[in-house]
Amino acid sequence: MRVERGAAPELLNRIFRVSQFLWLLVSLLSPAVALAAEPPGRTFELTIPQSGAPVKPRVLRVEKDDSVLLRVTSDAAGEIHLHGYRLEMKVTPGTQAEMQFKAHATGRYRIEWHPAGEAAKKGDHHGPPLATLEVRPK
Amino acid sequence: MRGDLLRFVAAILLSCLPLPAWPHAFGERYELPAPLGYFVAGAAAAVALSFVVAAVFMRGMPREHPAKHFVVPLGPVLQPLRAVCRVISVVLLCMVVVAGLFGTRNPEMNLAPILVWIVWWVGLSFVVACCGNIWPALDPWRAVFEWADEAARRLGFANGISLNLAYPAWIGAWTSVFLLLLFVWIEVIYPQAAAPAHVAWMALVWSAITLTGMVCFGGDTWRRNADVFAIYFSMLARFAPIDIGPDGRSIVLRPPGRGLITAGAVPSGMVGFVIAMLSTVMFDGLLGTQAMALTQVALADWMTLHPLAGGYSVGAAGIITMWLFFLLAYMLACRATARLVRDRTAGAIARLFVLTLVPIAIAYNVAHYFHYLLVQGQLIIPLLSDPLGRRWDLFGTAMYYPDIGILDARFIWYLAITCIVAGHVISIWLAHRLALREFRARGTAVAASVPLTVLMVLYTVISLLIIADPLVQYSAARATS
Repeated sequence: MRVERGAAPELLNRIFRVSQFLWLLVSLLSPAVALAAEPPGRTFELTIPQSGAPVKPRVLRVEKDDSVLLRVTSDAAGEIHLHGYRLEMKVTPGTQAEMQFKAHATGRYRIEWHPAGEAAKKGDHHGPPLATLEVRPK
Repeated sequence: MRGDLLRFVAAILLSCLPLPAWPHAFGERYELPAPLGYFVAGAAAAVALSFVVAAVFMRGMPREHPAKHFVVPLGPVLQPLRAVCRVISVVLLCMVVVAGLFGTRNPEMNLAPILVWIVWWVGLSFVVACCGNIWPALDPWRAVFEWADEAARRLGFANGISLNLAYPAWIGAWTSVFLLLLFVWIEVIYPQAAAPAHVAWMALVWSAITLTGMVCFGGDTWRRNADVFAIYFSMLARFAPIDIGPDGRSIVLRPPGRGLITAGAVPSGMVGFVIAMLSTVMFDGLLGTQAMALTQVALADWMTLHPLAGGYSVGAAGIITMWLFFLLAYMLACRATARLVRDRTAGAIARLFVLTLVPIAIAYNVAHYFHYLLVQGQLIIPLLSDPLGRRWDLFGTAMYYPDIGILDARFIWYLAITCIVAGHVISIWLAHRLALREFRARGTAVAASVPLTVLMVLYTVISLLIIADPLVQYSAARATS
C-alpha cells in the first residue's frame, strides 16, 4: 500500500516532467519548423467594378517569396493580367477565379482588368490599374 | 468665379499627371519607392557632406596646376575605327526604320523601340557619362551628311552641300532646349511612343529635320545649337574621364568632372538645356510615384469638368512647369551669388556655373533608370537572335524573357540614394573649385558658393522625396485596408 501510495504521485511527477521536456522541445523546435515550412500565404479578394465605374486603386503589399493568392469575382467576362510576372487569367461572370504564385521578384507591378470585348486592343492602351502589387524585400 | 479658378488650377496640376497611365515610353518600371528612413538618411548625408565639402575645400586657393592630362597616343587606330562605327550606325538607323515599319507590332519584340528607347537613349547616356563621348562616331545623321558633303567636294563644289546660311544668333541653343522638352514629352506622355511604326516615323522625321538643318546652316553650327542629341551626349561626356585628343589620333585621360570646369561661360541656351536635363528626369520620376496616382484619383471628377484635361497638351504644361521651377530656383541662386560677388551679373554667373550641375543630371539618370535598363534592357537578348521578327534563332536566345528579379529593391534604394548624394557633393565641389579659380579672393569664392550649395541641398531633398515617395508611407495603412 505504501509503495502504491507513493507510486501514484511519482508517476504523476514523471508524466509532468516528461511533458515539461516535450513542451520545451516543441517550443525550441517550432521556430525551426516554421522557418522550414512554406512561406506565409497572402490572400486578396478583388472585385471588378461595373464597366464605367471609377476604379479605386488598391495596393496589395506582400513580402518577397510570399505565396500570393488572388481571388477575382466579376459580373462581366474578361481577363486579369499581372504585369511583369506575365500572369494571365480568364474570368467568367458568376464564378470565382483564382491566381496563385510566389512573389519572387521585388517591385511594383500593375494588375490590369481587360473586359472581353476589348481583347483586340490589348497591349496598346491601359486605363488606371485595377490594383498594384507591391513586393517588398524582407 | 472662384470655383472656376480652382478648377483651372486643378486642371493645370493635373497636367503633370500621366493621363494614359503609361509610365514610360517603353516597357514598365517596377521600382519600389524607398522607405522613409532612406530618405531621411540620404537628406541628412547630403547636408552633412556639403558642410564637409565646405569646411575642407573652402580653405583657400587650390594649387595652380596646369591641366595635367594623361595623353595616350593611339596612332592611326582611331580613324578606321570611326569609319567602321559610322557604317554600323547608318545600318542600325536603317534597321530601326525597316523593323519599325514592317516588323511586328508588339513593342517588346521589335528592334525599333528597344534600340531607340533603351539601348540608345538610356544605355548610351550611361556609357557616354562613364567612359567618353562615342556619339560623334555613332551619329548616323552626321555620317550621312559628311559623306554627302565630301562627295560634293570631290565633284567640284568648293563649299560642299552646305548652304551656310546665317543661323539666327538670338535663338542660339534654345532650339535644342525646345527639342529636348519635346522629346521628353514624347518619351513620358505620348502614349504611342513605344509603337514600332511611330518610332520609325519619328526617326524619319528627325532625319529630315536634322539633315535639312545641317544643309542650311552647316554641320558644326547645327550641332552646336539645335542638334539636341549631339548636345545632350556632349554635356554628359564632359563628366567622363576619357576624351578624344585635339589631333584625333590620341585619347586624353582626366579626372571625372574636369571637363565641366574648364569650359568657361557657356551660351545662355545651354543654361536652359542643362536645367532641362535635370527637370525632365525628375518629372519622369514624379510620374511613377504612387503619390501621383493617388492625387490623380482624388481629383478625377474635377478632370471631367475641364475640357483641357482631356488632351496631351496638358502633359506638356507639366513638363514646362517643372523646367521653369528648376530654372527659377537656379536663377535665384545665381542672383544671390551675383549680389554677394558684386562685379558680375546673375546671367554671367548662371552661364559660368551651369555645367557644374551635370553630375546631378547623371546621378538622377542612374537613380531613375538603372533598374529599368537592367530589366527592360534584357529584351535585347531575344532580339539578337531574331532582329527582324522573322522567327529566326541565330544564337539560341530567341525565347529568352527578362528576369524581373535580377535586382533586389534594397540594392536599388542604396544605389539611388548614394548616387543622388554623391552627384550633389561632386557638383558642390566642382562649383567651389570653379569659384576659387574665377574669383581668386577666398572670401568672395566662399560667398559665391553658398547660394549654390543651398540650391543643391534643395535639389537633393526634392529628388529624394520623389524616390522615397513618402506620401505612400503615410497612406500605407489606408491603402491596404
